[in-house]
Amino acid sequence: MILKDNAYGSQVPGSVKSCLIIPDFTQNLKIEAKIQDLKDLKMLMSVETPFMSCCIPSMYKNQDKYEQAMENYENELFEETMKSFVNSGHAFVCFDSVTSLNIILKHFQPTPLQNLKIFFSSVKTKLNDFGRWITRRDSVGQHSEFDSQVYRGRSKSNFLAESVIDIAPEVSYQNGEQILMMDKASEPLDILWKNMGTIKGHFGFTRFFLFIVGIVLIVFLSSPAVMLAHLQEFDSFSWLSFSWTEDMGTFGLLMHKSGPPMLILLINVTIISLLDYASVIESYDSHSKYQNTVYKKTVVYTILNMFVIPVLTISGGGASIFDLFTNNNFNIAKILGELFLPKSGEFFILLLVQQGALSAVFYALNISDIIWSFFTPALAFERRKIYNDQAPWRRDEQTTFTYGYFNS
Amino acid sequence: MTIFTICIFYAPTVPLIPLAAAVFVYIRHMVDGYNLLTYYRREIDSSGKMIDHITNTALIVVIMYQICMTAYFSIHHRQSETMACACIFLLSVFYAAISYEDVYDLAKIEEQMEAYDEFNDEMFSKWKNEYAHPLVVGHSRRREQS
Repeated sequence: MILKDNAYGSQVPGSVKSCLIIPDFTQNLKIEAKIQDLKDLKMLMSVETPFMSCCIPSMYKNQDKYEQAMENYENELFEETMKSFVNSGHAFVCFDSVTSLNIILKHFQPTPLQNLKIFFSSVKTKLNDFGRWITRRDSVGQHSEFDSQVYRGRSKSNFLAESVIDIAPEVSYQNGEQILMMDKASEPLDILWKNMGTIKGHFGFTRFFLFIVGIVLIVFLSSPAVMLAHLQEFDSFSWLSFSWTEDMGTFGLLMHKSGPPMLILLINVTIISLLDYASVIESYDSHSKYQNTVYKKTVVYTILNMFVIPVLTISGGGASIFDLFTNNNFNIAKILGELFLPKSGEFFILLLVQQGALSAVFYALNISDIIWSFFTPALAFERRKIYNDQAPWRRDEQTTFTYGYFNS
Repeated sequence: MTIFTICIFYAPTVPLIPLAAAVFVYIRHMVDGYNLLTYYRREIDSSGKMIDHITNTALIVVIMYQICMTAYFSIHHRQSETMACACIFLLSVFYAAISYEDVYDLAKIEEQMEAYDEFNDEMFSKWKNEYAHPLVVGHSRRREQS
């Protein structure tokens, strides 16, 4: 309606051919995915006996418990189905040409002022939530303005007749309270349906908060290499300095050289997992957007933490980046000039070889998939076939090829 | 990109690092190629933006390397090398600025290829089916299959 009222949708070229309104079925989708997982695993386990059957939950082994679990999921799904119909706020719009699409996208690109508005709106939402949490006020009964919509019954089609669409969102758009955001639709296989739900708030504040935490960590606590140096100071048994390997001959020398880079890699992987989790929380509506975010976060973090800061801080005697700047009287040219000196050459060669070897083995064997399939490769392979061919919508962020992380 | 950065910065002073980086890149290429062709098969970067981000990062890394080299020669009071590095740096920035374009802009390609007055109804109905919510269309059929 907004498109029509603004005459975007009736001109030639530029007419809207169709509009697919997406219902908020996120909870239903999650329950349905659990039901399908339960059914598939039960079926696959009856064909292939898993290697570590002791680790398998009883609902996959015991018929009674399986039926009970299935009944619980079915009840949950039934309860969700009985709830009133909620519009997710997402829609796919089909224009008559790509030229029209590009014009519309350009027109609806948020201005810097609107982006600022989104940020402050998210801050306001977070503060309100915090205040509500402090005062322990019940949030039941406080609905968003979209809740006043006229709900419709469930149908096999997700097309809406214009007459049943309430004008509340349109009015708030005209008043400037709501911002209509448009983006080119992702490929159908690329859509993360589980995140196509009602948008409760934007992630501007969360991103800003994480950015500040990251900067504080990097400036004052510094990189895993420096963390390791600090841990070695507190280690009274000298275990982390690998001095205990001196009596072990050639193998001991190898361990002495490769131990510290390995520990740094482990610390690094832990922090990268947290960055990945932060990207998952941001609930992107497509795998591509999620991978782009992972790439941006991880490339900045890994370049800083695996290269810039270790080189600077190791040459600066294990001090934090803040100490380094103050000790050099903020002479940035001098600090940058230190970057490509061959002080840590051997360390980086070992780091590269270790990372190459470990990641090649881990990803060539798809170990994470095998672990989640109770250490049974055949089960992992069958599940992957289901994800690829039968139900691609069941793939989540963790069960796809993480090209964002690999490229970083 | 991290490995590329380490390789670029250490290539002149530690020649073994580019060798180790080349081995690393080759192994990763083999593993990722194998996984994409045989195991995952369905991955799509629908926005096509990743390649732009990667090339931009590589460009920034090379320019940062030149800044660091200039700084290094400058603090060691080597005027002629500093001037040469500064000139190369400025030329690189200039070249990057005038020759910059999107590597793979799908919208532009589609816009050039499309023809008006040829709205394909068959494709349109396929579009509707592809973008329908998985729990709305085909829900009962999928449950029957499983």
